[in-house]
Amino acid sequence: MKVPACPRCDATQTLKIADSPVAGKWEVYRCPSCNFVWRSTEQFDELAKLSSQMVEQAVSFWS
Amino acid sequence: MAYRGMREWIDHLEKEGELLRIPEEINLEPDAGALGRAVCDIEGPGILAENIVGFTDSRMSIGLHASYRRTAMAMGLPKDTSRQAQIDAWIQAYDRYPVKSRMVREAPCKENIVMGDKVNLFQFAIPRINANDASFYLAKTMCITKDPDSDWVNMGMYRMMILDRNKTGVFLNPFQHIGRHYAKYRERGKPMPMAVALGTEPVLPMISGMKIPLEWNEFDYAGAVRGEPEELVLMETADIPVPATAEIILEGEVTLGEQVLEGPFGEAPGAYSGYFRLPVFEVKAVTYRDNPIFDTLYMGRPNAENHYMTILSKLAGVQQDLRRLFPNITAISFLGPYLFNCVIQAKWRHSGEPRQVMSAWWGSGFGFNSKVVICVDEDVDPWNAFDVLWAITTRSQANRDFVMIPDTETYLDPSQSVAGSSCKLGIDATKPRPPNYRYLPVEWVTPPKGTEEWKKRIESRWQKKEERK
Repeated sequence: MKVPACPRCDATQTLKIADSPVAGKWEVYRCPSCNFVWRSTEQFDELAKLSSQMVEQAVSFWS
Repeated sequence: MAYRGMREWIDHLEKEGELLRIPEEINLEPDAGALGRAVCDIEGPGILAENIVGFTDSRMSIGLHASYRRTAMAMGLPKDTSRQAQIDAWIQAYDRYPVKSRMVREAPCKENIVMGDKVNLFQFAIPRINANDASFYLAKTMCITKDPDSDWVNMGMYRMMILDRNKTGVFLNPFQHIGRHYAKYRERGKPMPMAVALGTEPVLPMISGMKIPLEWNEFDYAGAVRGEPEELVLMETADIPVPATAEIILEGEVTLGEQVLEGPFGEAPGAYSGYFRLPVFEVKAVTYRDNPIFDTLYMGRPNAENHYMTILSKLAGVQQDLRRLFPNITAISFLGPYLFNCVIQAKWRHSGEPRQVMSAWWGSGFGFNSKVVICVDEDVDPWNAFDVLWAITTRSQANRDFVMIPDTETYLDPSQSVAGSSCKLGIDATKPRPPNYRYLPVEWVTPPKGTEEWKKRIESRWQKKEERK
């Protein structure tokens, strides 16, 4: 089955991870590259694209 | 009045005109966030959405704590209780601590039990709150962990990003009480058992977001606030107590190895956080009530629900700490955003005392993250921004009374050049006093005698005139 590209980082290899409890209403996808998770019913006209500079600055508390 | 669970609280809110049911069909995105934002903007009623696309028996509530009326009601106080009186009520509960919780064997939160591979977080109505949040978030969490060396049970509120059917990220860091537990498990090379309660009686989420003394038990403090013990039951997979009437309990472990990319998330200052690398919470079991309500909150530009829900309880904790050093402090407020802008009112005893109080504040558990501290006199209402600006304008000079300390530890400040580092600003907006008079004392105009009496008489007559119309 064809999966949608990640709306945040444009990766094409995304994963379908869930279906709606009422069949056929929506699916949930996750992007293994950037961990963005979304429902198929969402609109992404306000979504900011992934900032690689900010990802590089990601804070880690536990080394 | 102490509520036995969230459903009793919701019933009470509805009777008091403080709850709105949404019977029409909604989509979780963007309706959940939009409903939450709208409630915060108008200080409107809490929301219970009962008809959500894709769900048959799962509901969602948002905004239940999004007004100072409902924060008072949560504690069993009249809804018109002032903010300072609510803070005082939190402080008075310190003297009644502990009210030991009652363990029960049967509990509403065990009506449904799902274990192992059958766990699926998407069966609950968990929304994306703001458009750029990286996922659906558990925002109003009560994360419960146990010290591996003692009986100390800690409960705190940490954001959790859904990663999969049985997996979330968890925003825990070494500075929090939960971080002390996690550090010990890491030393032992063992994952940390954790329960996450979602949707409880209304005092627990408020305590979950505050900092009580180290090694105090949040449940026993909740009992002191409520005047009745909490009812707890053991989780299925570990020896950790959880609220018996919770809508949903997630049980699992915070793992040691993988740290996942997390964020952004629309945070308290009204800006999205950056990205983090955080530990993973693996859910091993879920227990929940029939027709469960997923309770969440709106976060974003102040005032948002997290401000209403936790500011007064947080202030109670820090006021307790600071008054031990400065008993002359009469009130403290956060004028927003969130904890970044603090106003301290006191009966000042020395011209240098405001600067010493600022230093103590920035050195305290919660005050360390305040960016701006403003010291005012007793004739200035610390909750009234107009009053505070009046004091700054008339009682301070920038070159003399503004104190700046660059490069200090501060989080979630969107204007930082370097993540985690801000410049603190202290403003002494107090009257001049000895020994180092900052400026020539002046006489301040005070209300003419009889003003208060006339206010009452005018209001009374005015009201009657309005009623006659």
